[in-house]
Amino acid sequence: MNRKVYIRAAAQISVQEPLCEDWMLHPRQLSGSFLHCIDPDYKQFFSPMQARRMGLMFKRAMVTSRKVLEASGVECPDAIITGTAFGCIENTERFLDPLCRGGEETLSPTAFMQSTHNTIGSMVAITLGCHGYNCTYSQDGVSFESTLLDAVLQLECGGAENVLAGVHDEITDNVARLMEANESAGYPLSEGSVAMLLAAGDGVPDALCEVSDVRILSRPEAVEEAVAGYRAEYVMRNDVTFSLFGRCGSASGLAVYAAAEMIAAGRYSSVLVVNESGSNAGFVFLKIV
Amino acid sequence: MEELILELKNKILEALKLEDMTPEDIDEDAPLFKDGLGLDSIDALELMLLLEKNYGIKLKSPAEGKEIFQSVRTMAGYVAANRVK
Repeated sequence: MNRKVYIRAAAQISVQEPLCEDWMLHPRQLSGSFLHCIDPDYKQFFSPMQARRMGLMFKRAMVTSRKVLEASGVECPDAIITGTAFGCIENTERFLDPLCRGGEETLSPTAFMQSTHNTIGSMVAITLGCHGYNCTYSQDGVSFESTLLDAVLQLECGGAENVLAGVHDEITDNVARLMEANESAGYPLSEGSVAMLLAAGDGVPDALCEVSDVRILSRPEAVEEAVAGYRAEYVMRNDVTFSLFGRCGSASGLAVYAAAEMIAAGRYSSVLVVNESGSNAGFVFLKIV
Repeated sequence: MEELILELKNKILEALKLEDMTPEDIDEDAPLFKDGLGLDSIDALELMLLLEKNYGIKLKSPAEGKEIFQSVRTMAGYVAANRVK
């Protein structure tokens, strides 16, 4: 059973203007060594009692998830699949720092609970009351492709009619310092959250685009041959992605979001997002509906 | 005792990240859990931590906290009687 898979809605909070596509007309020019997201006012979305245990990354994930669910008219998805390259760094630091300084005593249970990589996916599920399939992928630079691959497989095989897929990463001052010491790729380090509502069917007329193929290749020498095989109208590579969104674990997810919106706006009929990350390369091929 | 109650209110606000509330918003005689401030079991663990860090009081189990965490006033009474710092 091979059904077509579509992106019905996508939303982002990143270093560009959040929760809208206006930024695509005049993208912010990035500068500096590392950049945080441009966050919306979360008080519009959460009461103080709801927000008190939420780290920034969870707020971003929840707001982008709600936006795509509303846009798709889906109250609760059949499955939630989440990607994150580095997990909940803010809470991990909040948990580890006192552990190092305080001799493994008096540790905050909240920070501990929310320091795990699957915190985001599980918290989104708890908030939405979703008891369906829930999985988190942490595969460094191809975490999003791993997430999307699972989502597509679930939808193609009929395991779900719709899937809330997302990739979420954050950066702290400490991590930025450590990464800067090891990398100098010419683009600022950054962070970002993307949520997408994927659906399967013979035709989803209101979809942004079709997800024609997702692939992760572990042979860097075969990348160009693979790119040529897709015959995409536009190939979006890391240099464009990083110049728009900075370098972060969510970068390829943000690129796919941008590509989906460009196809929906009629700028291209097909886009291949190529994400070369170490010895892996991720390919996401999107086509007009 | 009133001074300790105010101190506890401020520490509770900070520990539980009740950022938009002030000490005046907390009724020292109202229940901390469910109907009152609406705290839950994770908050109970954070309150146990608060007692240990600030007053050197180690509770053996969350069940022990049931009596102590009835309200800010019962907390203050327990802290005044058992603090070691």
